[in-house]
Amino acid sequence: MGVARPAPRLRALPPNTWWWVLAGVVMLPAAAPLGVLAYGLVSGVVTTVPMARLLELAANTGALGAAVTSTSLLIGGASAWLVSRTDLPGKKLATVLVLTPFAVPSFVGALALLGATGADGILSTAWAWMGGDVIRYPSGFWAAWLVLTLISVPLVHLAVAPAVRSLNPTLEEAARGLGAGRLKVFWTVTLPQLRPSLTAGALLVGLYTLSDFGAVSLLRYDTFTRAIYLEYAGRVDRRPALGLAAVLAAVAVLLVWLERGTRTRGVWFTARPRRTGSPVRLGLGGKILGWGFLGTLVTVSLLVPVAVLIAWVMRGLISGVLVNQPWAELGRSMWVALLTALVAGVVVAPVAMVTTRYRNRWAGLLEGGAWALYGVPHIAVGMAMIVFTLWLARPLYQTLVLLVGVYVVMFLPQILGPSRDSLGRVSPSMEEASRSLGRSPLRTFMGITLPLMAPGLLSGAALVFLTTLRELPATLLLRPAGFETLAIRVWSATGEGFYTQGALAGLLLLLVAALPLAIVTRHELIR
Amino acid sequence: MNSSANHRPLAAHALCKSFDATVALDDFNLEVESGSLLTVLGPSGVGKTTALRILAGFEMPDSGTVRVNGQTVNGPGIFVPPERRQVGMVFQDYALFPHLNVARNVAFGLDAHHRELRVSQVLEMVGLAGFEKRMPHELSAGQQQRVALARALAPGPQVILADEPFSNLDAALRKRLRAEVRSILREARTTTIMVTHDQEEALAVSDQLALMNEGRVVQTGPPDHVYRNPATSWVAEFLGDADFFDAHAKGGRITTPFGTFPTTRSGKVKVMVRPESVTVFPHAQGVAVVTYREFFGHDQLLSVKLPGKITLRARCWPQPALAPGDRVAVSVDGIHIFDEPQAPPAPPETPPGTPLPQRVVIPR
Repeated sequence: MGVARPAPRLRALPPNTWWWVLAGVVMLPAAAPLGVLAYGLVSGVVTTVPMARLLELAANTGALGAAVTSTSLLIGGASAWLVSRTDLPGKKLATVLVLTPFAVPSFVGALALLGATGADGILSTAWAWMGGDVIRYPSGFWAAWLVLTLISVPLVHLAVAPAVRSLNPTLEEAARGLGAGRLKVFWTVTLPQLRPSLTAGALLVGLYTLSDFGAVSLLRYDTFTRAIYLEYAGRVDRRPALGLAAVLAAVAVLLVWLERGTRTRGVWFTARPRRTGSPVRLGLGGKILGWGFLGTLVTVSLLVPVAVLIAWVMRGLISGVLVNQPWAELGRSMWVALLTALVAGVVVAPVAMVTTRYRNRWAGLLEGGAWALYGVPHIAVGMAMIVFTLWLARPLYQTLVLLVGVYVVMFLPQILGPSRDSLGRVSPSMEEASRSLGRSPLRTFMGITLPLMAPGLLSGAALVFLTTLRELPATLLLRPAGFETLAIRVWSATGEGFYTQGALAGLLLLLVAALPLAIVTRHELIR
Repeated sequence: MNSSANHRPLAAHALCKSFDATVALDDFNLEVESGSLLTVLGPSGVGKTTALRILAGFEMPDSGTVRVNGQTVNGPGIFVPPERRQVGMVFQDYALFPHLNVARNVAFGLDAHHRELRVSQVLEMVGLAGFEKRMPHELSAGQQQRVALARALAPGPQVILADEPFSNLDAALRKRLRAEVRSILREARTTTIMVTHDQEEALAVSDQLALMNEGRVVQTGPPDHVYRNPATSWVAEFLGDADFFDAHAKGGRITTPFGTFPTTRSGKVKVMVRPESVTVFPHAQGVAVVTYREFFGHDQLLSVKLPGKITLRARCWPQPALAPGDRVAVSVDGIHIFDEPQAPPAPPETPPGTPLPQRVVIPR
């Protein structure tokens, strides 16, 4: 061999190892709450809760879940059918209006109900003024059912509408041709086609009801989430609360698992492009009936709650009781949400890189890690992290670092999805082109990958920001002492009966979180 | 290894690479001469793209060396990352940066020094002067491809690698563009290694062909030489139409139903005949029978059956119009003899100069 010029000697390192290291470090914290909850389940901590109490909570939670799921399936299914399958005028507007209540946090919904029909409530006052009897404080099963159903209808609508749109009309026509009547066709042909999406919608609602803390705690209905908080707040012994949290988490994980199963089947049912049927023609009566239904729904789930909040604020302004305005809380909420969105945006990059670019066991594990806390009720995560920090990471207990860290881990799927979508459109050959044009991996990432990933990263960060603003149970358990956010303000003011204070904070929350959230997700919602 | 490899713009020696159970490269050797266009040609899945990606530094070989202009970039304990190799790449999907305009795409690999001058220089070269401010999505596929080429040319790399550069274009554009690209590369005096599975494209544009099969280069040489002197029956068949039959060589000759040919071999051999070297005439006492005819206008393809279960195809003038069942006489303008079927494929190192079976012309 001839004499070659001295070659640069570099350690042979597979080019992308660093992404793996980073992604692994990022996902490690997700293991903490899961580990504690799993420990809670197997270590016998659960037995610190009397069996009778467990059964009572299970029965209560199950009853609420079943009631909310079945009614929201009926209402959401009907609204999806009206909007997706008929020639009802103004369908776009109807879709937006029907879906918007999903952005209303359940504790704001509960506040609206209490503010309307509770002691001194807007409607109760009007009722009494008209000579009606005094209305009992709305609480318990029916109150929780009403609030959670109204918020869950959009979930069902979202799950079912695409399936309704892609119903194969030839099947129905074939059944009609074989002599089946409309009703029989609906039961034997249409409904089976919709079953996967209905199941998916039902499981989503079930999961939501199971996880809800805001409404059940304010409306005093005894489910797992409320019981966990009461155990936590009322005792020094953390074990019963942890035991309940572990049981709740296990049930939730089971529901998530079921939901994932239906999701793949649902894809099979709806993915193939088909001729879509011409919309069902509604007569004038049908149109009036349809809009009457949607109008009532929107009025009850959106207009009345907002009106009630506004009325309470006006009342407060007029009577001069509206002191102690929640501007500090607003600022605190905004900046902690901003911080969370920022951290999530930084942290998600390596996870998105690895899970988009590699299809192997480790990538699967990482992705699983990112989704691990998806569906685990936030109150359970909060409880687990309290126990974790008390046992193993005392300096982190009730710190902002912990709070933001838990937010990031819980909300990571929200930013991971859009980031991966936009990263998926960046061909790896673009990065390779940049490398072969002399740019180092870091400069390639900054110059090519990051700018191309930015849209997804931004919309994901916006989602995380808005979700953090609305988050109640984890904040309640993990916040530093005295760190009162807007959501906590709404919740605590409502719980103490200060509806005026709660209403102003609630309206602010709707303005800064719910409205933007409805706008951000609108593109995905409608389609 | 010969020492001239040190001065090649790019030389790969004994590259091996496996992905889990599949072997992508198995003793892959390649050298390219300065200023020439070498095409690595082979069917899909023989490791062409893997080879190219290793040369560019996007993949690590399991073993073997790669040298760029004499400098080792892959070797025992040595890995030079792509950004320090001075190897340009034109991607199959062009990989233009969608958020940068044409000028900034082309300038991406340049440092500030003389950047604008160089950008306009290469854009001029590829015929896209005046397109500086366009965004990639505002360009046609052909223009995108020329931007990709300009971007790769701009930093003046030792060698440009191109992975199936024409496969994303429709047939008409592909023919026009490959001529254009050829002349651009000539003008730029760039050394280029291109990878393709399209025989016609490879034969049309290359200075050198490297035929690749099962993870290694089977034969290299100028296109016409390789076409006329395939090292193996696989090469012969891959590069064009060919019919094969087994024959026996004895006493320095091979006897076939269409004549006797001299040979230096003896024993069982494999004979290859290309359709364009077969001529047929209608002849009542001819030894062959037409079994099939495809008419193409400018020529016709006849299938004829000869004694000894030999079937040959003949590509010939459209006249006379022969029909299946016609008896014909056959004359063959040259045959090619392989030692196969027993012999293994020729070793990859076989340079084009080794003795190959001789072409013979039958006496009329």
